[in-house]
Amino acid sequence: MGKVKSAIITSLLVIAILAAAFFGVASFNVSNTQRLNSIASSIHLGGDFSGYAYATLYPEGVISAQDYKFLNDDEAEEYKSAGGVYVENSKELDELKTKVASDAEKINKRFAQRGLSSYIVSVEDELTIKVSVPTNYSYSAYKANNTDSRSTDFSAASNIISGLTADGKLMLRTTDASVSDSDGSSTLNAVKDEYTNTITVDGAATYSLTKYSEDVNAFFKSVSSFSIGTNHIISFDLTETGRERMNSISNYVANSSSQYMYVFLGDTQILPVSFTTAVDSNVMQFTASDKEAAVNSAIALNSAIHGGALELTYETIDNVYSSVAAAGDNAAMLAAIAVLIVIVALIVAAILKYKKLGIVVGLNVLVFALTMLYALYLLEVQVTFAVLITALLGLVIFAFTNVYVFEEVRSQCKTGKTLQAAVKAAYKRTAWAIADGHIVLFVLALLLTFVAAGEVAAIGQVLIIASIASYVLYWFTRFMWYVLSSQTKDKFKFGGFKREVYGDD
Amino acid sequence: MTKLSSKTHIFLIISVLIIAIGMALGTVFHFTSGEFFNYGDEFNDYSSVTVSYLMAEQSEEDIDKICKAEFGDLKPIEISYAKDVQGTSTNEIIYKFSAGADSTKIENAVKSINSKISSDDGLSVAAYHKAKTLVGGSKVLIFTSIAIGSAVAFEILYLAIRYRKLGMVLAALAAQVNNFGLYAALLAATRIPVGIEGVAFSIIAVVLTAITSCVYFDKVKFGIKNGSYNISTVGELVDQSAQSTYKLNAALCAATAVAIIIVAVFATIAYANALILAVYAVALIAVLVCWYGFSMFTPALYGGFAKLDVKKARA
Repeated sequence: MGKVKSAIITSLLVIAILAAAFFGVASFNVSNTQRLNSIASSIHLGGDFSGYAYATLYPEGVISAQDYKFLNDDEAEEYKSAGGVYVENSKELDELKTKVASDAEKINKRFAQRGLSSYIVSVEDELTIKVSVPTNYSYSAYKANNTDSRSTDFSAASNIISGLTADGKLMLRTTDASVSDSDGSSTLNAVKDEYTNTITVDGAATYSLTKYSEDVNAFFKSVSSFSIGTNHIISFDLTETGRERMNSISNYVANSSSQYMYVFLGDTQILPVSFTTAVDSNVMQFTASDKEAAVNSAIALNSAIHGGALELTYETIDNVYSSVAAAGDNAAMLAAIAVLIVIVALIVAAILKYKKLGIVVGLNVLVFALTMLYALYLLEVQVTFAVLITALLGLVIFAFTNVYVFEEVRSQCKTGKTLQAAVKAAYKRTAWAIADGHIVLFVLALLLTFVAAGEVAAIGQVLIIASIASYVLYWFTRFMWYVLSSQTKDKFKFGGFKREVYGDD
Repeated sequence: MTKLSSKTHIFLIISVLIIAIGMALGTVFHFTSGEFFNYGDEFNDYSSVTVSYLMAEQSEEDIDKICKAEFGDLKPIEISYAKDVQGTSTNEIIYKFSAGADSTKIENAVKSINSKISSDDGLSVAAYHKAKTLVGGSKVLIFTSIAIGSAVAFEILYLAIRYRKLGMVLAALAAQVNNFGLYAALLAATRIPVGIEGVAFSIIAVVLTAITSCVYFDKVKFGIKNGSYNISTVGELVDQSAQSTYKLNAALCAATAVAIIIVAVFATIAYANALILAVYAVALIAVLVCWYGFSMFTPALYGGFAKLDVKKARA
């Protein structure tokens, strides 16, 4: 390769790395009101690095020590102390405790379905249920440098808590008490029940679309959610009975003035559904406002129809708290420094061992690290300690593939080959072993991503990126070796190799 | 040169013994303390003192100072400073203690704290709670196990197609089973607190085992293909391959271990509590079992199978 070509390729690569690194790690104020947050500071973080959002569920008749302080003397006399909380005198404690324990198990199962990197469900004083989920803040959001993102992330975490802890049974309701039949001769009625005046939609009373004796759960086989592009769907799989009854119900709703059916879990409105015509199908699919809402609603509904409806009614969650990072306030910053040290250590070790060839490896280590950084951001992977360690494992595997082939080059040089012949032979000799390792790693990563859940699925995503980046950059190293060494006279010295046997080439 | 190939039985016995001891200890702990593994904080029951206060009334620092003074020698395992983001301006500090902490002492401390921070017209209050944590990792555990099991099955199938050598396939399978078994046994025996990361780090063991196996068996395959070995020198093939790949595989494990240690050091600085080292100890155990696997167990075990492969190659 010519000197000019070599210089151009090298310059372009270095410029690309510098530009990617600049936007990857540099955060600064653009003006008094605007700030440019780096890619690194915009990656979502797990509870270790950004803290947890948590709330405590109080069953009706149970209040916190702080709420107890609000009560006047007469009101306070109606409560008795139980652990760290207060319970109405009229409540049967043992029965309450049994039901709280049962509800906690049901809530725990719902959170397990959610695929969070971590979550904690605990029963406090046997009378309240405390749930914690990661805030999912990025570093800039955690440090309040990106208030929009902070607010969005916290709302999402709060919605997970409120969505998955929705209590009460599944109900299909309408605001229209009655509708005229198609010929106008008679009137079809929705059922007025005990919830009519307490469960409202925009202040309007609601009526049950099912008979008192009917088991609504028997209408549905399962509820699931999926997304196609920007459409987020909640899908109801109906039983035979459900198909018949939903046909009748949708007919009623389509003829009502509002044309809306409301799906409730207890007093929580899960989904408003519009029917303009009667529906006769085994599957009903409705669009939710966003992906989070679709997933949370589907899990809560699915739980309710399979016997997971909560037995007790819980006070509305007013206070959702946000804790500092579980691993310390500066955990994310220090983890970033640790990663930087590992990268620098790898580059220095490569240069010490392989001289100028080490610089080629160093450049590609940087490309690998930047690829990982941008991929974590674009795929919205939540970074936890385990994810971070896995990303570093990927980096080490990439360095290892280079060491593997370089050592083979070294042993080929000892047989008296020219460097060009040694490199060719070494790459040929190690190609399959390296391909084997990467193929196995890639398939493992795919399986983890699509079979496992939560943090382990995130690890799978990281390994997918790592296996692809490592294999591509393994070949790119050979290309850059060729580019950078083309102008060097002593090709052996470039890589710190020695030719032991000298013959007539 | 260490003759690993002739020590198949020794390493098999060592592995089986360690796994059996680990599993036995885990079973004993399961029946005595109710847990096969020593589950981490996220799975453990605890007691806590939750101090709720209004920012307008008192500062976080003042509350924290009062509480720590009252707790005296009672050391919380975790302190969480939290803000009510959406509701009132009530903040909380939660001092978490292990379930076995002295409840009388904590209750007395709570009374003292309340006498200092609580006034009739104020809203600051401390409350003592006992909490039972539900184990939430069962779904993760099941699906991770399915994914890892499928991945190992794929690896074995892939090696069977690529190498077409029964001995190598059996040894690769044994390596994965051995390393995974050792990982679980050591976690059970050492009683290192295992959180959800314990599940995640088992992936390190599987990945490193797969890669080191690929490197080792590639070398063996190359030796067999060269035709310089026969049945009488098959041990030499196994040992020379192990020796020539040792440095490489050791470098992979050492570099991984160094990366984990660097992150662990910084995490300890951030957390200001050595308890977090437990998370990294679990990762280091995963690396350690892989090192044992590629440097000793796999070559030793393959020593028993290699004759099959060489015999087939000669045929």
